[in-house]
Amino acid sequence: MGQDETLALAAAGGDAAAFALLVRRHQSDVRGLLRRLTRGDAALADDLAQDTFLEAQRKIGQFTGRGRFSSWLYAIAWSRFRMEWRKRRLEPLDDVEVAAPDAGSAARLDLEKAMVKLAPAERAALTLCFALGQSHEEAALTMQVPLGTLKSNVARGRERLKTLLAGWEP
Amino acid sequence: MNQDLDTLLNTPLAALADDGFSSRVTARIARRARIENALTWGTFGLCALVLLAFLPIPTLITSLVQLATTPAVVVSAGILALVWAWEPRMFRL
Repeated sequence: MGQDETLALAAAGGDAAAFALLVRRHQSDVRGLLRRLTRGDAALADDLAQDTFLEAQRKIGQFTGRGRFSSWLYAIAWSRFRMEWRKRRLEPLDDVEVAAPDAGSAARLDLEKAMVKLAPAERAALTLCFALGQSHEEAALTMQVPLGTLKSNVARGRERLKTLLAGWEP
Repeated sequence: MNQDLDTLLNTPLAALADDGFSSRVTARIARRARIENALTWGTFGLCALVLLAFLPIPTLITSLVQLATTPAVVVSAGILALVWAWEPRMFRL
């Protein structure tokens, strides 16, 4: 069992300091994932990240310690995002102003811009499987979709990215 | 191209500075716990007040005293006391 899982079990036993430490350890990845999903809307992503941690704290007793704590947390973040996305279907996400991501290089900036064009499920699948290092099985559990669907999202997203990035090449 | 894309995708997400985010989350958790505590104890107190106001306390006390002095309750309590006192000795046999 890793350090996160030990901390999560301590938090489930009522150790508030252990949960505070988990928030500090995971805030960057959870906010980063949600920024990608919200197409760079930092304020919305941070609101959703706060809700994610609040929900995680309320449900921490349900964490069994069998899987990775981060996967459990990303599943809550994904579900929070989906709830928000469904709500905003009335006012499409296209209206959201896309902020420039904190990117370190031009290629990375291009990637973030291309990511915006993908469907949310494709963005989530690619981010979980590549940037956050989840296996396909873990990502399927996180997104609560069959493994085949997850793999399709990864393949489709990758193909679309390749086309988009090739179109932008000088 | 494929390799470049994979390398790019595999790059970890840019690290975001905390900038008070964790403190805001823990403050919200603490506030929620305070509200839940206040609600629990408030409800408990309200129920206790309603009970005290409407229960016929003297009648209940008289009934309990009468019940406690009936032979059935006295004998049962005696048996329980004896078992409780002798139980450790019985296990040592």
